[in-house]
Parts: sequence; structure tokens; C-alpha cells
Amino acid sequence: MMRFFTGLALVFLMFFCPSPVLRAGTFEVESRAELNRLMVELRAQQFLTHATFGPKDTDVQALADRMMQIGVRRAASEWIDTQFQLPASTHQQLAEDMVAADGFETTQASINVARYRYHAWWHNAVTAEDQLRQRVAWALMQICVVGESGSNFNNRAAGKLGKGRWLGLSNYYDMLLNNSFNNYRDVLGDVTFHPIMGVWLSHLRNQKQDASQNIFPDENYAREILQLFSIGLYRLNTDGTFQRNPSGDLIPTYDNTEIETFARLFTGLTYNQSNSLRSGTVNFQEPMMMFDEFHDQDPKQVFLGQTLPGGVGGVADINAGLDNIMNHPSAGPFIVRRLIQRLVRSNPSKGYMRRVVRKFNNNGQGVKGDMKAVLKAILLDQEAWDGIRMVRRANPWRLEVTGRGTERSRLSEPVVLYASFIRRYGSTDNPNGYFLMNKLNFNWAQAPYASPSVFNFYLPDFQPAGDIKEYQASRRIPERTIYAPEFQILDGVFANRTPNRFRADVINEELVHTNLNNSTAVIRTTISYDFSAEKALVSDSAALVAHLDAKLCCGTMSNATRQALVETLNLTTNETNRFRVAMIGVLTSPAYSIAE
Amino acid sequence: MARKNKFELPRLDRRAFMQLSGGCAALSSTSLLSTLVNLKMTNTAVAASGGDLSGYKALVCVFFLGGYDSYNVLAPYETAEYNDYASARTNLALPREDLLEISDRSGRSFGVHPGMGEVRDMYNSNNLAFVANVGSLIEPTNPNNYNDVAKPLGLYSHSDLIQHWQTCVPQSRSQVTGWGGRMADMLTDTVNQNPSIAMNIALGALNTFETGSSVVPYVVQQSGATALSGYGSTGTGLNGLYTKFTDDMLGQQYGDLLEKSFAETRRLSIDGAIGFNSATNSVTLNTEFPDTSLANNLKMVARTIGAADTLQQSRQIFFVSIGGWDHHDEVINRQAGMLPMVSQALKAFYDATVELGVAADVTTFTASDFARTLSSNGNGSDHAWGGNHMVMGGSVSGGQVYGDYPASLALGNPLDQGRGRLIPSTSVDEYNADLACWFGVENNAELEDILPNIRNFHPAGEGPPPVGFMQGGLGGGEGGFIQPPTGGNPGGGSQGGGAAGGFGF
Repeated sequence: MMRFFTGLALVFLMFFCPSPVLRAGTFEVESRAELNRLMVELRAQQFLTHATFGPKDTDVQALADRMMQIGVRRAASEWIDTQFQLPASTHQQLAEDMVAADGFETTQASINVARYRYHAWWHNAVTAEDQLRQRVAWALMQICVVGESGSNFNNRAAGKLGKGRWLGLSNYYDMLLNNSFNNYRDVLGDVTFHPIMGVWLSHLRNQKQDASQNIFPDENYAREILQLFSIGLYRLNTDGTFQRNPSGDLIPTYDNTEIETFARLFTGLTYNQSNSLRSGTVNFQEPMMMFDEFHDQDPKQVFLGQTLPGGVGGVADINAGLDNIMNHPSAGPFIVRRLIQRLVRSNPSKGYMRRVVRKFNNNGQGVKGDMKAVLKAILLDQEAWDGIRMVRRANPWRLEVTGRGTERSRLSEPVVLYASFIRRYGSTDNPNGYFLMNKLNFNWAQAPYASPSVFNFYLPDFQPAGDIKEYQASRRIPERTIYAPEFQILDGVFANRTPNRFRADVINEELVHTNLNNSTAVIRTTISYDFSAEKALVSDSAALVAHLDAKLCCGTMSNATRQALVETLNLTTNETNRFRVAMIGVLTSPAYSIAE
Repeated sequence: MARKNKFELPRLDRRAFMQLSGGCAALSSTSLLSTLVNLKMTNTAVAASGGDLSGYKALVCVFFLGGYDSYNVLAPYETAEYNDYASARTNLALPREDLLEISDRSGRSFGVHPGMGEVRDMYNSNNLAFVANVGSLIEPTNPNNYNDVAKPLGLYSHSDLIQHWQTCVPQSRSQVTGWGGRMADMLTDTVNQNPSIAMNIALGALNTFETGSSVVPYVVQQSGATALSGYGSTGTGLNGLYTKFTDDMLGQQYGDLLEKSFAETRRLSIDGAIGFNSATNSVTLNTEFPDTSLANNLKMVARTIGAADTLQQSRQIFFVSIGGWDHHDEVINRQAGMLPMVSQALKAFYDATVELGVAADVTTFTASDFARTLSSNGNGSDHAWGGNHMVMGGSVSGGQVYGDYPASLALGNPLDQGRGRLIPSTSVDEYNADLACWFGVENNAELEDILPNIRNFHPAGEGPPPVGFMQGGLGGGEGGFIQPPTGGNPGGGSQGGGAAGGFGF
């Protein structure tokens, strides 16, 4: 339980009632010391919302303690350094352990064994200590996108190493985890050679041109690695704006000539331990191998006026090509914008972009693409904090917390929001402590491994119709246009189903995840929720609502919404209903879903 | 923060559109700008001019996501043409003896994919037509002017070509509305009296095609709309209080536009689901649909069409998508599995519109990112451009292959941009113009608002629509049928007495 939130009183001073532009909530406390502590706790929460799958009370307290000692930003930096040192909590081994603990093989029939992939993902999102790494891997998974609709990706049959093929996606995810704190060039390399990507974008068994057969290299991977994983369609400035030619047109980064060239580069790869390019067992466990005779060994005119000489062997050729892509000036702004959108906000300013891209382009030791430097720059930048303004006032001691709105917000990803709910409140009845949670894609249009295409669940440039599309941003925003990607999956179905999930969870105080363990029996995992802190406040509507605002919304719920909820609660003396309405009300509020 | 005028485009759009004038001779920057910026003003014009919006009509877009290999959906059948096709496609060529032979009105033979018997039958009963070699273009493009004309951005990429099909502004990448959305923006005041359900209804997910400046598509699943649990009670029990707080909270003013959008989306979702389910549940439908995702989606479309009166909508636009067509691998086997499912679903849907008495009021059309390379990459095909599409319904002048099916598909044919990527001979704009005009948009500034590039292809005025696949299209609204609709009973429905727009029953 958070120490101070329980003692908060909510004040409704009508002359403080904000204009609709502001989202101010006011928290009244007893002393200056409490005021400072509350402010730091909210900062710790805000930071952990960016850097983890959601703040837990104990983590907030620990980080707030340290922030009180050495300052907010330094404590956050120290926390990141600690996270950098933690070993990766991997997903494939965990999934295999979970399968074994239930007495199964990874090739087991009749149990939908591939579901253990989701179990492992949720378990790590909820419990893993290396939260920053988990969160960054999830961001990378939404840049270098693969999805379970790939051929054989849900297959329980054994692959080359005897494990169920469905583990391939977990293996891919582990590859991203292991690279989360490496160099983005490592990400590009390991993604390119991973057999899951080889199947997904069909450069596995891609062969050099054979004009006599009218066979040309498959262009799929060449196109998507450039368009989606590295540099994008148009040349970018370091501040995230587009470069333009003298007549004002956007400048394409490549045309179909380059696509055809890079298609020639990604040739000759197939499953590891194959005897030839076109024969060999599915092997999702090891990087693809090269058959040089099927690799296009001719020189290739690539970016920046460079030519890959060819004749160096396929693997060296591909690596030289990836170096060339990585050296493209658009790589920094392209990747940085996507990482900021996943971790902090939908619309980084030009200054934010410039500051982080500078780190991407040079970590201080002349290295481009250093993920550690980039992540620190993203998470510690002033814009990682300035979405919430906090003003301390005296007589009485109170904190005014304001969400600064449109250009500094984002709609939280549904699975991240739900993971944070489980981290706050959930425990599992599994004897091994496993959170054997299901895919849950009935509730929202997002789930681990479930991207419908290489374009992810939503596009970085999606704008919902209406106000956001029509809004002209301030000059600090690139191109003065704002985006809200996650709204692409907030449709008329899921805008009702997601509140329905929270409502049922609060009422039942548990969610039972049911699965088959063979064709007849059923295996259940119950995730129970501990709402004791909220229930303890149920007789004081204002205190309960202030507590929930601070804990779940970083204090950004407006006084007007808080007042409406308090007035509603005061209509009944039934404590169960007071608790439930307060809890469901906050979990379904704009302030909970829109985060700074 | 400067809040811009609601009807202005964001600055990026304006710049992006300004730049177009350089590459697009027939279109001045001001004309393109004005078509989009002044969209709202034309609303009034439509209502005032009494554009023909009588009766009921629906457009149903079936989008094959990923780029379907449509030269194996409609293949050549004439011996010489087939041989060119076979030489280009090598191991991707369907055997001639397996193709389902059809012929156009000139007697030229074509082969429909062997798994699409229902489509062949509907073609033969004149309720379905093909439109050949359609693709996104900015202006007429051919081998001679290829290097001189403005071409769609990002040719051959999924995300761009999907957008282009849906926006009909292929000189811009994003930020523009879809043509179905703009049509709804224009017509909705006249044809949709429902306060919470848009006339544009999407099965499964949001899409650009149906997204306008003010109209957001209403998304339902094949089972109907999802309601908010516990909502709708009064009193001081759990659900009564939850309902009250939800109403209070969503009714507040939000300065953060993300919060505002979130609250508005929630409000619309709550109200919409209640009304939608009540209306569609009261429609009975005896037509049997196969149990596939596409068929179940189309079944919900049919129920929604049946509920149009209750929903107070006299125009509806539907978007149904089906993924999995990006066949870089195994294109022959995968299409053999998927195309029969498409064919059967289309047939069931057509039969349902007959049962509902609206066959002549509903036009279904296909779309896809692009066609695929004619040449093989081993056992699949890659991204290409122009491809073949289907239009279906009682008002389609069926039994014909429209557009300009290439005389030769041999590699190196005049349209071939390499590997059998064909320059489209009919633009998406021309294809859509026939549909939009049938739907009630006039071929004047109205159509230019919907399809900003249309004047590059087709003049304004009373002449026939560019492709001519809709009945009455040749008469420019004067009611001239090529042949009467078959298979349906357009006059017997509940939707206001059959086809509108000059069909003189």
C-alpha cells in the first residue's frame, strides 16, 4: 500500500476548478514533507509507467526513497543502470519449463500446446525483474514485427532440434530480449538471420536470379527491412521532420531499383543444418545458414554511393549490406521515433527527437546505434517528465497535478495496461507461481505474437478521424501534425469489451484462465486480485477516489471527474457497490487509458 | 496551442498537396485543395440540390489484404492468349483444361479459377462482372508516357497501395480520408438519421476507406456489436451507479484531445451497440451461409442491410476484409484453398440480398493492394500493380469483362514494368466513379470531392460513367437498362421499393 495516498483528502475548491483545457487534480496533505513525498512518488510512478509493464507499489516506494535521497532524475538513471545489469528472463526456456511442470512435451497433442507462448509472455511481463528489458523487447517486437499467422508458427510438430515448432516465436522474442541493450545493428542482424523472419517475410530459401526460369529474388524482406525496420520511405532530418527538395517535395529514401538490389542481397539463406537450399527440416531454433551458390555474388549499388563488391560470401555480403542500411542518416530518426512512441509518448517534439537521435548516432564513444545510450536518452529526457505538471501550494499544503494534454499524451497499449493492472493487484494460484494467462485477444485487438501483419497492430502515423486529425500542433511538433497510433485498435467493439474485462475482474476479484490439458479434462489457473487497500477506504468516497487517481492515473484525473465519481458513490451506503463502482469507474476512465 | 479551423487540413497535408501540382499537370493545386478543404460546404449543396438519394442503396467492399494474385482468378482462355500467360507464369500457370470458361459480349473467352464455380455461374446469369487490370493511378499512364506522368507513391509496397486503393489520393501517403469516408461525409446528413451508428460499417476493424473527416466507421463483429456490460440500469445498485457515472464521465469536457477522442469513442460505442443489436436481431434470414470468416462477415452485412430501415439509414457502406493473400510462397495451393471460400461466400451473400428483396440495391465490389507478378519467384509471386476485380449485384450489368484485359500477358508485353508487373489500364478512380455515381454522387464537383484525381480520367457532366458496369450507367441516370436485373426481386423489399436512381419500375 502506498503510504501517503491513504491519508489524502480530496478538496473541491470551486475557484480551482480548471478550465476544460487543463486536467488538474488537487491533493491535499498534512505537511510540506508529505507534499514532497507525494510528488516524488508520482514521478516514480510516471517513470515506471514508461520503463516497465507497470509500477508496483513496492517498486514505487523503493524508487521514491532513492529519489528523495539523490534526486528524481539521478535515481531514475541509477535504476536504469541496475536494470542494464540484470540477466534476461527469457521466454522459450520458461515456456518449456511450464510445459514440463504440467507434465507435457512441447510436441504434445490435444492441449493447444502453443498457448504456453502466451503464458510465458504474461508471466514475464507481470513478474520478471528485468522489466526494462522486457518492455524494450516488446517495443522492438512492434518494430521488427512477426506474427503467429506465419507458416508453421503454431505447429506442435517437432522441428530440427526436437522441440515443438511453436517455440520459434518465443525464440525470436528472446533474440530481441538479448539485443535490447546491445546495438540496433545487432537487432537488424539477428532479425535478418532469424528463421522466423525468414519464413514471415519469405527470404528463407530465396535464391539469386535465374532468368532462364523467370525466377527473380523475392523482394519482400528487402522492402520491409527498409520501409519498416530501419529507414522508412522518406528521408528524415534528425528532428523528425521530412527532408524536402527545393520544390518542397518529400525525398524518397529508395526506389524500386534499390529494392531489387537488396532483394539480391537477401539470397541463399535457409534453415540451419540443411543439406541444400530447398531441402531440410524446419529449424526455428538456430539462425539461418547460407548456401553461397544461391547467393547473388555480383556487386551491388547500395546507399550512400557505396557498392558492395560481392564475392565475399553471402553472410559477409549481407552483413556489409546491413552496415550500409544502418549508416543511412534516416535510421536514427526513424527508429528513435518508434521507440519513443512505444515507451513514452505518441508525438515527440523536434527537440526530443534531436536529443535522442544525437545519442543514437553517437553514444559519446563514436558508436552508432547503442541501445543503452538511446534508452537513457529517451527515458531521462525532460519530455519523459513534462507531460505531468506538479505545482506545490501552501495553506493548506496541496499538490496540483495536471496532465498537459494533447501533444504530450498517448493512449496506453491495451496489453500493457492490463499487465500493469495484474502487476498491481494480481496473484496466481499456480503451485509454481506461474501466471498461466491466456491470449485474451477477445478483450482488445492486441496480444503478444498476434500482429495481423508486418505493419503491427497500428501504424505510427495513424490519426483517428475528428479532432486529432484536424488539430494543428504547435511548432515544436514535427510537421505540426499529431498522431495517436493506438486509437487504430480502439473501435466500437473493443471500446466496450475492454471496460467489460475490467468490470468482470473487479466484480469477481479474480479471472480464471481455462485450458484443456487433454481432450477431456480442464486445467485452470486463477489470477486473484487483492483490492484490500481500496476496500479500506471505502467509507470515505473522496479519499478512495483520490487514492485511485494517484495510484492508477498518476494524479491526472480532473477534479470534475473525481467530483462526479464521489457524488455517485455517495448515493449508496452499500460498501461493496461503492468499492466496485469506484474501481471500475477509474479503470474505465479516460485518465486511466490516456497516459503521460 | 492554436486550434486550427476545423475544416482546414493539417499543414503537412497542405504542403503535400501543394507539391502535387508540379507532378500532375491536369490538376492545379488549388483544385485538389479545394475539393478536400471545402468538403463540408458541399454537404449543404448536396442537400439543397436534391442529388438523387432516394430509395435504399448499399456498397459492400470486399478487400483482399496482401495483394491477391488476380491473373489466376481471371486468366486468358483464348489459345494464343493462354499460351502467353503460361509462358509468363511458368509453374504458376493454371492448366487451361481446369479453368472455367466464360466469354465476354464480344465472344472473347476467359478462364475463371477452377475453385470459383459460383462466381462463374453469377457471371453467366449477369449478376457479376469482372473489371480487368485495375490499379491505382494519378493520371492515365501507359508505356509511352510512363516516365513523364506522376505515379502513385511507394509503388508495390503493401502499406502504400492499400492506402491508395482506399484514399484515392495516391500522391499522398497518409492523413487523407478514404473515398468511402468522404462520400459519407457528403451524404450522411441526408441519408443517415441515426445519431450513433455511422452509415459506414466495418466488419472487424477500422479502415481508411470508410474514414471521413467527420464520419468514423462503425465497427462490428460477425456476431454483432459488443454492448457495454451492466450499462443501462437506473437506481443505486451497482449497474445503476455504473451507468450514471459512465454517463457523467463521458459527458464532461476534455481539453486533452486524446482524452476527448477516447471519451467520444466510448460514448458512441455504448449507444451504437444497443441500437445496432436491437435492429439486426429482428431481421430473419433463411439463406444458408458457409461457416467461414468471410461468409459470416457477409451474413452480418446482410442482416444489417435488412435492418437499414430500423437503423434509419438509406445509404450504407460496408467494408469486409480478408487477409492472407500475400502469397510469396505456395500461391497455387493457397489460392486453391481460399478462392472457393470467397466464391461460396459471395454467392451466399448475393442470395441473401435476393431473399431480402434488395438484390438491385446492393452492389458488392472487390479490392486488393495490387495484383502479383506474373513471373514466379520459385513457388510464389511478388508485389505488382494492375489486377482483376469483381462487381456483383442485381444492378450490375453482369456477364461482361470490363476495362481492358491485356491482349498478351507474355513477359515484356507493353504494359510490363518487369516480371509481369502491369501498368493498370483502368484506374481505381474510374472503377470507383461507376460505384459512386450509382450510389448517388453527381458527376460534378461532388465526384471531385470523392475522387480528387477523377478529372484526369473522366470529364464532368451527363455522359456515362467511365467504366460502365452498372446498369443505367450508359444513360447517365436516365434509366436505360442494358438488360433487366435477374435473380432478384428489386421491387419486393422492405427498403423502399427497389433500386433508386432512375430505374423505372
